[in-house]
Amino acid sequence: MGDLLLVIIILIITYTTGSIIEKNHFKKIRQREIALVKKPVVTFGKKLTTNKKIKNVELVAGEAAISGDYFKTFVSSFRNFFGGRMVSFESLMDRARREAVLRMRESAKHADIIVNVRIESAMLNSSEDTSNNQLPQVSVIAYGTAITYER
Amino acid sequence: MNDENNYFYENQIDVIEDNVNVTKTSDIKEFFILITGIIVLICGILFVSDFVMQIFLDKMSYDTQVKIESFLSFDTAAKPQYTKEEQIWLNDLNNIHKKILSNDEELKKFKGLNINISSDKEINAFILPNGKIYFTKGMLKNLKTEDQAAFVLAHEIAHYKNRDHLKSIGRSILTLSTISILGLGSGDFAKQIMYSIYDIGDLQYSQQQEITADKYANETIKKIYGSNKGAVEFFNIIDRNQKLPEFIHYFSTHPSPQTRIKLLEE
Repeated sequence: MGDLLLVIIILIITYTTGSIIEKNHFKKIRQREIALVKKPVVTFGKKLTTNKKIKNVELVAGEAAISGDYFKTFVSSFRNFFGGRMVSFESLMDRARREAVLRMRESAKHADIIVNVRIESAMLNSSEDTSNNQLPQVSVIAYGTAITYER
Repeated sequence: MNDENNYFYENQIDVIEDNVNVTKTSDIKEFFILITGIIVLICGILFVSDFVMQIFLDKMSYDTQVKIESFLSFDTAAKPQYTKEEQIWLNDLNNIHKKILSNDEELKKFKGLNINISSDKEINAFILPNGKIYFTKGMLKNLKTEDQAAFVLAHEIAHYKNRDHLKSIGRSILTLSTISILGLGSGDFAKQIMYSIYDIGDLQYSQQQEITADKYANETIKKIYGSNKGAVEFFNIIDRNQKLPEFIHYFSTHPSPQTRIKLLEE
């Protein structure tokens, strides 16, 4: 019984902290996206056809690693059994991807366009054994070529 | 122009905010749906294993029961040396035992039943799977009259007669193996919850067994002594010695003494 009580207390705490952190993160992501909406433009295409003179070309990258909380892990371990959408991890993936792209764009604030952008994800603890204590962590890296035009 | 741009940007951002990548359900809703699913599943498993055990054990012959019991239990070391006081208690208990046996024809076939005293100070009495009934010293010191002792003894015998020990063992084996075969709760936390749910189900079951045994003991002492005064007195003794808050008994293998008195009075 003591175990159960402890788990419930931890669940309540981690749900509260987790959702506050997530809410704040989404809010910040949105603010930063608003700030960057003009520049630089992001494109997945390789080719850039423009008449403008190019001043600078460089590689830019952004990385983000986001971890799930106890509550999310708990819910997902039941989801494992029944199957279906892992709702609790969808927001993790989304946060990680948007954060990584934002960081990439922020590192190229001076640039006009980032071409050939690639987004990749990786498991941080990619150990082979699917032991029980694996924390769900998402790391996303976004990289591309930032191009600045001559003004 | 600038305003127009802003409007446009805002709209664009709204599109970003209306996120298709995150399902629009809250985690907490998801949590409750899944927990409910798990609870229903475990209750189902418990129900089925109860049912199977009931059919299986009720049809089992006494000889098979003895075989299983000898497999389950091990004989403790040589007979303990009883003091004079304990010897007197033992004699009294054996006399009561005979009275109870003569009261119920069905009990005659249980040859393995015998009474022992353990030097424990706690107030307790229990029966081992091989039919050895133990009274603790603390229990014997607190029992005042013969019908109180008879109630306790009849209660333990009722457990044996109902095959409660085999039923709960069989039930645990069936349920826990089903849970692990299903691979339910692959996470540590999930496992903890699963077993806790199972435990609560088990407690309810155990309480039900106690109530059934109480009923039997109640009937028995009514037949022998004419009233169930002893039972009520006994539970009052327990209640005085426990001093536990009422809610604790929801998480206990036994119902609270007050509940048991109420049930007896009915």
